[in-house]
Amino acid sequence: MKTKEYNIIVDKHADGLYRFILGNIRDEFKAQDIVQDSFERLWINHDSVEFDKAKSFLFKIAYNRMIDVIRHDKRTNSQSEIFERVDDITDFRQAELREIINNALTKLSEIQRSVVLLRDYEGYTYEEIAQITDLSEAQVKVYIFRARQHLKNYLGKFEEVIK
Amino acid sequence: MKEKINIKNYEAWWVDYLDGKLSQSDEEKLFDFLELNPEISTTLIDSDDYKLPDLDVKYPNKSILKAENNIDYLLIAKVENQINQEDNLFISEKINTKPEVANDYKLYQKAVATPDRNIVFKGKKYLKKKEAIPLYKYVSIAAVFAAVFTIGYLLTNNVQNFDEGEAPQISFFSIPFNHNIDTVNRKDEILFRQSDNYNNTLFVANSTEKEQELNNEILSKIDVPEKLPLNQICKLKNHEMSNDKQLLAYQVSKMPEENVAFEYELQYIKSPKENKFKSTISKVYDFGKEIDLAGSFDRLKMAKEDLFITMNE
Repeated sequence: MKTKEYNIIVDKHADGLYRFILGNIRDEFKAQDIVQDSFERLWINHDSVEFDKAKSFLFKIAYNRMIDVIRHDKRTNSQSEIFERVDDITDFRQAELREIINNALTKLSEIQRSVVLLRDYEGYTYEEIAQITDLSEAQVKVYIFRARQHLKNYLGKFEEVIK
Repeated sequence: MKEKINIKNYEAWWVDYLDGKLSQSDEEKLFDFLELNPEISTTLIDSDDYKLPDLDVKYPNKSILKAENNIDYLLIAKVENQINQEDNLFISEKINTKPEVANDYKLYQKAVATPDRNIVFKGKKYLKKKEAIPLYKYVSIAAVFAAVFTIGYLLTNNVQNFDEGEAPQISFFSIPFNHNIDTVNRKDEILFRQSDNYNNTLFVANSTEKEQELNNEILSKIDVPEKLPLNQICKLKNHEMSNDKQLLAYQVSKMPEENVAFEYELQYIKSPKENKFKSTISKVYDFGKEIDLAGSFDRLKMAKEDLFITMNE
């Protein structure tokens, strides 16, 4: 991948990657760090990464980095604080559907949340998600199925709001 | 070759016999062995003895496996656009006839995360990398040489204020007008030309495909260990170049507007005492019809700053 192509990847995917990470960890600064680290890794490897594979490469790096951060946060107990902050929202009637979905996402397991966001935000196929997350395609399907059920059940509580 | 039958392996021979895997000669060996060891033959079971009986057992919860009981799965498959035609007909019929299924389907449709496009990564410009400096696409060699000669002349008059004992010197120099323009324009390759006067190399690429390669080549050869004194590179004043402007205008007027170009070569001498050329950098600009040397030098300075920042990163 040439420098010019690398810069195109920055333009095309930095926002999407940032939203994906932010959707998972809900911490702007950490999300920015992860995005920055991931692009740095992509740049270091840009000679060996083909342009059309760069996005998957980037998301895989970012995903792994995010998992590291989540694990680290769990050890330091800061992860629960992040999610509790989201739970503070009480007036769901005023909240928009996206906000409800975002809340619902926080109820999912990390892996369920990741696969759903990769699927919904970036439109990745099951196969691509499997490559990024190092899961089998069958596992991805199961996680997405369970995640959708959780999200649907969560939304069901606010049926009046989202009608 | 099969191991010779003995008291330790006769069972394996017998199983092979039952499975029909023994050759005629091995069968004979097996039965010879059994005749010699009649007490063993009574312990062997025949094939009829180890057939499993037919079981008349049915899976008790088969009904829950039916599509009727996998509505959620089919709804999700439909939302995910992963449903086959038969299942789609089945679930669509359910959605149309059963309000609770229709409601679930609506929830599943809404249970899709959508990104907030207002959230953007603000540091994109810091992620980007500077591209290698392109050489030129449509260059007029005559204009290039004229410009280089002019600038070399102008700058030579401005570097004399440097401390010749220690300070690095930056100067432009003229390139001997001995290049074969036709050759350069025709050949799709990188041409390396040796300058007679300065033991320096002019790099020329005449295709976009070669630009990157050439720039990599040039940058890989550059060995500038220190930051160059940018404030001393260009000290031209407008009034000093009026005549040269005419010269350039004359040279350029024969070229199509979009082809007007300008190239310089930078010669870096770490210290005059060492008398050692450290690098040669080529750069081309397209200017348009009028060439404004003062403005050009500003761009030149910016280009050098970019380049040195890149090299020092």
